[in-house]
Amino acid sequence: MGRLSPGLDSRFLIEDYEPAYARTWREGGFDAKVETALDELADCKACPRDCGVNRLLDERGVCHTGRWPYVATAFSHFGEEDCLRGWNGSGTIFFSYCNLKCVFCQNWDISTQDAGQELNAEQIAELMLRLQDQGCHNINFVTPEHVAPNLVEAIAVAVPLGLKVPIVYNTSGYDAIASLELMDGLVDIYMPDFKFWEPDTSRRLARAKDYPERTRAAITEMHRQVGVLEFGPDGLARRGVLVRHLVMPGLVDESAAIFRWLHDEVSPDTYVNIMGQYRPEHRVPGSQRYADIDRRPHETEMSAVYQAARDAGLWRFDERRR
Amino acid sequence: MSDRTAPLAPPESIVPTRYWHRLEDGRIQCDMCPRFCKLRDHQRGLCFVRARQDDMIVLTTYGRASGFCVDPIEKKPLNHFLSGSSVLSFGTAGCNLACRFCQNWDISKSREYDTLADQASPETIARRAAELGCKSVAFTYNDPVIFHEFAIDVAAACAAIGIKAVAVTAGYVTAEPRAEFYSHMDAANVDLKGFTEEFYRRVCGGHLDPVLETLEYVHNETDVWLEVTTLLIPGLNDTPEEVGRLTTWLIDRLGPDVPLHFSAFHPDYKMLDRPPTPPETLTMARRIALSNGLRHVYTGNVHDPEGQATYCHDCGTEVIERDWYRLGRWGLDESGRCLQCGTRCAGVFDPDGPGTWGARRLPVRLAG
Repeated sequence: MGRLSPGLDSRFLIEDYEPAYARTWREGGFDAKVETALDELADCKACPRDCGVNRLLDERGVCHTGRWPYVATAFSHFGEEDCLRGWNGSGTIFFSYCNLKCVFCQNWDISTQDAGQELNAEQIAELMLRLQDQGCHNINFVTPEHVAPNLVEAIAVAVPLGLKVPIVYNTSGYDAIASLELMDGLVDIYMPDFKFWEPDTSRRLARAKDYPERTRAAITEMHRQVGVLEFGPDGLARRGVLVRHLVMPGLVDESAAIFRWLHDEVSPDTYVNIMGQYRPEHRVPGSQRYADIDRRPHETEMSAVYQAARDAGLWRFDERRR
Repeated sequence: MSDRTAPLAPPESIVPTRYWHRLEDGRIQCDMCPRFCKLRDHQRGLCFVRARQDDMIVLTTYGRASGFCVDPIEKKPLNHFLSGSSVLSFGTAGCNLACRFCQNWDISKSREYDTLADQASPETIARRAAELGCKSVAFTYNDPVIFHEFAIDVAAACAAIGIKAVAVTAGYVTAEPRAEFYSHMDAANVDLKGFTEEFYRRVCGGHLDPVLETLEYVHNETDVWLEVTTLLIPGLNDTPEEVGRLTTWLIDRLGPDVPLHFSAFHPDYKMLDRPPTPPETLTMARRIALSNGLRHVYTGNVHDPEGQATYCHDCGTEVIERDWYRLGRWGLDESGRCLQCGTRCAGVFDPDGPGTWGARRLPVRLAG
């Protein structure tokens, strides 16, 4: 068995999978979660921005989101990792707006405006079930940090209606611990993207000086809940943390620091997808101020980043079989 | 023109500058601000104080001030920076914008050296600030962008003895000098005069984008404490729609913690045909800004204790009571946290508590 095909490694195999939410439902844990979620919306601390607005009254803070999330798109996505997209795709639900303000946002058309429409818990649940019916292997919430309490409400509707695929929490990592605690027992697969190590970098490029600190705390909590990534016999991800790392041009040292931390403080078996698809977007192309990131990462940088990950002692990397 | 041979300024007030380059047609372009004045020998830029002499751009007002005054820091306005302390304030002459509503035009449009009667070295200014009990020195009344070299030397002299440097500016400056300037500052109040290019072009004689860049740079790439001021002028920049876009931009680009001051216009300079801003306009703007998610929004130049107090964004408790520039109840602990709920209030607060300068304004002479 190849070292780079961890899906076949028996140490990371789940034979009898049951979604986390199924157990939580059986044990009657949902009522308390929904109640806490509503409390959180009343004084919103769903993400580290801590705006404190009352979203139950449709007040809006940094993420411009009120009582209900804006859903930009929902479809069976074949662009995700092999272990998520499988042969029928990953059932992605993209939420509009974001609590980060990345100047290079690769999805700025949905992160900076109210793309799509506001959907309530029943409508989101309906989307989840429709994606499941289409054969999607999981429900993949993209950019959920600021709508976590709403997702608790939606999952609570979807479970009794027959939801059975794993839930993927596809986040920037800029998550509030309170929201992750809400997700404890609902989410099986956490997929944070840990991009920056230096507070000054994350302030300049994502408008969040505390991003590295918050993301470390978030990944630690995610790992506590679900551990390292594990697969079913079919090679599809079932439970655990899948860390993404979007390689930024010129920031190889920060990549290396992130890998060392993942290895030393989370687990040497942390599953990592090193992503090379960064392209200048949003406010970067042609800008003088962000000229340093107005290019794709060089080949040499990509290989330096891979090397740094191996040097850190990590070994479970996502490799796409095209 | 007799000016061509007359000296530009007393020799001791002239210093060389760095931000310029020679053009092919023989003129020299000043690169300090986005106006990019292109000058022949002995010509002055629009700002009046930077000029071409001996094949370079010089500053002609080094060491000169149009007057010194000890003010409450709240008057700059800065509501989250060493609250209650006094600040030794001075300006020079000239300006690199040409706002038709200028509220300080006697200084900004001065072409007379007699408005620059006060002369003082950076060391003298820093020492006098300390002697007067000021925590900081402010470059204000006109725009420090144009007396860059002098302001930086004053800031450095202040830093050497623990006095902070404060810039009050329109932020109309190019990238390279901007970075140098703010590396010496501790706090800044930057004017965002409106939120349309049209307003900047027609009313101020400038452009909006460089100002937005300064705001983003200062807030996101330096440790300078930033507050923003918008002067609302009836019929020009005070529609709910424009206020909405301005405040949405601030929260998107700078986040919820940057304090915003709405101040009231009074007819002045070349804009005498418009009424003063009614207090209701300021209150309306404040309400829009708060509902867009900004946490600290103030009304200025009017009597409005509700709109001048600072509130804990989390529990809503009034943590700094203000009436004009006079502080009342103080509800923050030594680390700037709300006494009720412990949430930190954004800003730079003295661990020893607020200053006790009050609302006084004290003109001082520094010239020996």
